[in-house]
Amino acid sequence: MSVKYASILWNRQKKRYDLAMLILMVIYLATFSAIQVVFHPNITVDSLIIRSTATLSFIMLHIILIIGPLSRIDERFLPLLYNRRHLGVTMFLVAFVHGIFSMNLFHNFGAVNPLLSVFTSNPNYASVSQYPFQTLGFFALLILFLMAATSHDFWLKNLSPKIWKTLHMLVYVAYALIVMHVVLGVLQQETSPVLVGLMVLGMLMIIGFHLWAGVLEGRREAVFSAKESFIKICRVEEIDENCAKVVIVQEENIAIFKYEGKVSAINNVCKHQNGPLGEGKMVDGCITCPWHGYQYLPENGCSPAPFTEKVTTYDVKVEDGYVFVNPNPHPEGTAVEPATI
Amino acid sequence: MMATILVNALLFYLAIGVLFAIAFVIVGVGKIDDGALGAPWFFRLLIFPGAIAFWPYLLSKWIKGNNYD
Repeated sequence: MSVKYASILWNRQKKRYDLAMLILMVIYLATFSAIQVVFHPNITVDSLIIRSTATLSFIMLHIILIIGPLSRIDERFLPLLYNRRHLGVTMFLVAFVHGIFSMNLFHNFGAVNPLLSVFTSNPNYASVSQYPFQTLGFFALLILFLMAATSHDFWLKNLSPKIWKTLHMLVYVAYALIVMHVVLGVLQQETSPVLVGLMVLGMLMIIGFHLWAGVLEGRREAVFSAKESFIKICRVEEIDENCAKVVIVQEENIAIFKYEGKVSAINNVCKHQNGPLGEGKMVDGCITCPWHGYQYLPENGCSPAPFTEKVTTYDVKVEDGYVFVNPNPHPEGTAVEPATI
Repeated sequence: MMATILVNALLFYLAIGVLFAIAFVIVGVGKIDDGALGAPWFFRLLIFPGAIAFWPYLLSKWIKGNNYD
């Protein structure tokens, strides 16, 4: 959080995550290469690297895009989300190898700068079947580079969370560019229904999981619109111990936590990457963001020392077994007496 | 012609970015963010590519001086 930067925040779980990722990548590359050699005995090493890294990075991008909604649908997938940035950076490196080998194989044989050759060697920009699809791959790779290069928390702080989040939402633009890169590239030569089917299946999974998570989230968040100071929210027993109920009252996104016989309300949006605090749990007395484990004290919305993040807090009370919240926020980090159940 | 100009402009931007990034990860990063003071060299290496890409923005922050939170 806001202390001296470490190079990589590894812990036991993240090391296991990275190790599993690397093992699966090696297994995939070995299996894919073996199949390619069987079906294309004359394939060159360059072509093998280009094909294997292309398919691997595309599969990894699908996994990255699906992890987010999947963990909102079922919290058992949350551990996959905690280390997604390592998966993202690794995916970029694999895609980068694909890009470098492709540029070297197809654009590094004349006097023209290879990068310039990507844009000028094939001028059929008006054609579908002959479109210079490598340009689309170049721009997708550029976006993935910017995302990987700014994955460290240093960038989140210094670019500001809003700009950082906007930049990283460009992953969807990169995905669209890659889909077009594949459709106008390899699928123009290899029209196998299996390849087309797999790509459509991937797209449907990404769209489907996002829609599913959006519908579930909409159901979970109760929306209130009242002008009273305290709004009746729910019965106390409707909130699970050490968990929260998320409500939107007068455009305030509020997470109301129940813990140790008390109730507190803080803003639902984590200062790190706008993660949903209300979908997290109380861990060691702190509200813990489900995305990256950032923590806040329920009584004042402050991260425990030495960290310095703060969120807004709200007055809350319990009467006749019902939880009430005042949607007028206190300034970030203001101590508010928890309501006693 | 247009592609040549754009690619050359990109390469020029990156060349300046590399020179800037070297100075930034050694000196500048500690001037704009106290969390980077005394940070390990691997951290500086990790932010190097981003410093190449965002050098105009970082340069403006560096010129403005210390803006620790």
